[in-house]
Amino acid sequence: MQTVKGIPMELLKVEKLTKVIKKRTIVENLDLTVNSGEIVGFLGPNGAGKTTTIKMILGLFKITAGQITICGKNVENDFEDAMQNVGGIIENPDLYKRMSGRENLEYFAAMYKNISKKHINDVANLVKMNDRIDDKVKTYSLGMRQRVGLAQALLHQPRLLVLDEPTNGLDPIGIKEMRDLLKYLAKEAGTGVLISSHLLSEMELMCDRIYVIDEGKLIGEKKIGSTVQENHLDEIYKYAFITSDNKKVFEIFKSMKTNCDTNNNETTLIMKRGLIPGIIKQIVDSKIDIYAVNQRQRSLEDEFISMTTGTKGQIK
Amino acid sequence: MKEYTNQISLEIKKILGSKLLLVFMGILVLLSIATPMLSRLELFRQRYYYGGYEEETLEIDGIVIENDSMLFWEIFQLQDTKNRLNSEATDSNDDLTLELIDIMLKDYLEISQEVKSYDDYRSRVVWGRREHVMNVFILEHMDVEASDMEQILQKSNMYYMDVSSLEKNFYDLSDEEKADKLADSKESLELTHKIIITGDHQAYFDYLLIDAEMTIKGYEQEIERLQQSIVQDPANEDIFNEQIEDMQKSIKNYEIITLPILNYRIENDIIPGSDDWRDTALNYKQNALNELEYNSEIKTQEEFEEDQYLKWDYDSYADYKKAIEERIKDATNRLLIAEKSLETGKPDMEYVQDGTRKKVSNFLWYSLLIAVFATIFAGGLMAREFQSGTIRLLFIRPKSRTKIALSKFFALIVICVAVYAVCILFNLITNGILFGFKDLTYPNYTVSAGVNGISFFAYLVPKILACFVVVLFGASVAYFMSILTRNTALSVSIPLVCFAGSLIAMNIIGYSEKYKWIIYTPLPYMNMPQILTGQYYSPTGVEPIISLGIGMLLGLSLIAVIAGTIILKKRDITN
Repeated sequence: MQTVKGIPMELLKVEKLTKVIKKRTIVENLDLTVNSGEIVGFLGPNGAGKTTTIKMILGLFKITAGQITICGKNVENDFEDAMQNVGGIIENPDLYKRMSGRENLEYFAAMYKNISKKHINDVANLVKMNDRIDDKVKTYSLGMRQRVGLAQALLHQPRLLVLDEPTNGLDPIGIKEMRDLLKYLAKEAGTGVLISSHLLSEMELMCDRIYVIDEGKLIGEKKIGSTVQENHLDEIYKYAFITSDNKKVFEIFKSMKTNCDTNNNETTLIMKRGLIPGIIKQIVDSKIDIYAVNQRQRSLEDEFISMTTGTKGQIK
Repeated sequence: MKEYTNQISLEIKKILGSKLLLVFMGILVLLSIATPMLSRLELFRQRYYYGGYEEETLEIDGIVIENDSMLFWEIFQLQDTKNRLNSEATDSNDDLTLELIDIMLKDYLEISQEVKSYDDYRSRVVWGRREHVMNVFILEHMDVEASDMEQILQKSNMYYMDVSSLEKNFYDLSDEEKADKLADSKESLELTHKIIITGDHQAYFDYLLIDAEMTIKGYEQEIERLQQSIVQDPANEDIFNEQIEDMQKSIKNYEIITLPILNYRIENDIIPGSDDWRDTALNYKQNALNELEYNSEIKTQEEFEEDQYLKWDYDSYADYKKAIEERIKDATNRLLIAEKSLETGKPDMEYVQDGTRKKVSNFLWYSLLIAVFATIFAGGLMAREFQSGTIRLLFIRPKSRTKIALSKFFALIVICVAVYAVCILFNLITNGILFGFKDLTYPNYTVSAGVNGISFFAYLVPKILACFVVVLFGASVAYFMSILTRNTALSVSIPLVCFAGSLIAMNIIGYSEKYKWIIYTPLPYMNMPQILTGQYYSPTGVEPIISLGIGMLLGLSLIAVIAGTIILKKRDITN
C-alpha cells in the first residue's frame, strides 16, 4: 500500500465543492477524500449530483466553488499533472466505434508517456478482452465496451480510479470479475477507487467506505463492516423472531408502534439493540415460546433508505 | 511544442483512419489526374458545330459532308432550295436561279472537302467568296432585267439586293468599270480558290496584303470623293471632314499596326489562326496596339460632364480617369509582354492555351474542392466527439483541451496541405505528359520597370498559397461551428451554405455598380482562384485587392479558431 510515513496517502481531496448550473445548485459544499488502497463508494439516488461531482473531479465540468486536488495537484490550475494520476469512466464508456478496441486503447495511451504496446496487451488481458480486442468496437456488447472502458482507465496505471456506474451492462460474472480486479488493485497496487453505483449490494461487497449524497449534499458517510463489531446498543437492526405464535407476537409489536412485519414463519421488527431484551421478556411473559431470534445483517440498502428517507420522509 | 507535434501526429493518424476521408482523398487525387485527361480528350472533340448538327450526314453527288463541317448548313440550305425549286418550278427565272445555286453549291462542295472547321486558317477566305460568285453571276448576265435579277437573288436564298442597288452597283456602271469589277471578282475567286485547294499559306499572305492594299485604296478613293463633295456642298463641310478624319485614322491604323504585323507574320511565317503561340502573341499585340490607339484618350472633365453615357458608367470623373488609366496600363503591359515573348522566343503563359502552365494554373480552382473537403472534415472534428460521447474519454487525459482541439485542427490542416500538394503534383505531371513539359521551362512575365521573366513555379506557388487561405478559412469556420453547435451536420452545412451563398451573391450583386464596396468584404475572395486566374470580371473597374482579401480571410480564420478554442475551454462537457 502506498503510504507517506506509514499513513495512507490522500489521493483525492474534495473540499467544499459547489456546482451551480443556471442558478440551480447541483452540488453544494461537498467534502470527500479517497486514500490510497481504499475503495470508496459514492451513493445517491438519481439526480443527487454523483455524476456532476465525478465530472468535476475529472475536469469535465468547471468548478463553481471549492477545490479538488488529486495527488496534491489542483484539478483546475494543474490539470495536466492532476490527470496524469487519475483514470476514469463517466456514464457509458463511449469509445470510437469505427476503431477496434486496441486502436482505442492505443489512441488514448499515446497521450501519456511511455505506454508500451505490450502494456496495452496486458491491460486488455487484465479486463479479459484479449480475444476480441482487435474487433471493431461497434461489434461489442455493452459489457465488452464496459471492459474496454475500464481498460482505458487503467492504461497509465493511475493512482486514483474514478468510476461512474462501471458495472452497468455487465453480467454477474463480469461484475464479480470487476470487483475482484478493483480489490486486487487497491490491495496490491494501493490504488484508490471512487465508485458510484446503483447496485447497492455490490457496494457492500466492494467498498471500504461509502459516501451518501442527496440533492447535492453529503448526508452520510459509513465505514462498511465496522458497525457489527462495534455493538452499540443504540444501533438499529432488524430482528426476526421465530415463535410458537407469530401472529400474537406481531400484535404485541404493533401495540408498541414499532416498524414490524410478519409471515407464516417469522415476525420481524426494526428496533434499537438495547431494547431487545425487554421485548423478549414481554413475549415470554405472554406465554409464547421463542425458538429463535436472529439479528439481521443491516444492509447498505437499509442504511441508504433510512438516510434518504430521513431527509425527505420517503424513498425516492 | 514537442507535445503539440506529438499530439498532432497522433491526430493525423486517427483522422487518416477514417474511411470516408480516404475515399474523399482518393476522389480528389483521381480528379487531379482525370482533369488533364478530360481536357486532352476535349481537344480532339473541339470542333465548331454550325447549325445542322442534329441532321444526318449529307451526301450530294457522291460527296459526303459531315454534319460538323462548317459548310454543312450552307450546303444543306442550298440543296433544300434547289429541291424545292425543282419540284415546283413555274417561273422562267427559275432556270437561272437553279444555275446560280448550282454554281455556289459546286463551289461549297469542293471547299467542304478541304476546309472543315474554323480552326483552319483557310476558313477565313471562304465566306468572302459568296459575294464574288454573286458579282460574277450578275455581271455575266447583264442581259437579264434588274427586276428579274432581284427575284433570282431572292429566290436563291443567297443574297438580297434591291433593284436600285443593283442598278447603282452593276447596271449603271460603264463597260470598262464592269470589266474591271468582273476581273477583280474573278481574280479574288481564283486566289482564294488557290489558297483553299493548295493550302498554300504564302498565297494567303499575298491575299491579305492585296486585301489591305485594296482597303487602303478604297479609303483613299472615298476620301477623294468626299473632298469633292465638300467643294460641291460646302454647307456640310464639318460632317464630311469628320468622315475624312475617320478614314484617315483607318488608313493610319493599317499603316502602323495591321501592315507591320502582317509583314512580321510573312517574315516569320506565322499563319493566322494556327496553333503557333506566336500567332496568339501577335493577336495580343495587335489588340493592345488598337486599344492604345483608339481607347487611350482621356477626356477632360468638361467633356466627361457632357457625355451622358460616360456619366452613366462612372460615378465620378476621378473614377473614369482611374479606369482609363488602368486600361492604358493594362494594354501597355500586354504589348510589352507580347513583344518580349516574340523577341526572346519564349511565350508567356497566356499565349499557350493548351500549354501545361495554363492547364496547371487553371487547376487552382481545385482548391475550392479542397476547401469543401476541409470544411466537411473540420465540421466533424469536435462535433463528432461530442455527439458520440467520446469527448468524455478524451478530455480526461493529461492534455489540456486547447492542446487536444488545436492538434485536431492542425492535423486536418496538415492533411489538407498534403492532399493539395499531392493533387497539384499529380496534375502537373499528368499535364506535363499530355501537353509537354517544355512549356514549364518558359518564364511568366511581369511588368515593372521593364519586362521581367519569372519562372513558372515562382509565379504559381504564391497563387497556390493564396488559394489555400480559402481552405484554411473553411476549416476554421467549420471548426468554430463544430464547437459552438456540437453537431456535425450543422457545422458542416452552415459554412458550406455560406460559401455557396457567397458565390451566388457575387453572381447576383457582385458586378453591380451599386455594390462595389463588396470588394472590401470577404465575399469575392471566397472564389480566390477566380481572381488569381484573372477570371474575375469587374465591369466597374474596381478590381479586388488580393492582399486585402487574404488578410481578411486569415484574420477571420484566426478569430474563428481562437473563439472556438476559448468556448471549448470554458464549456462544461454535459454530454
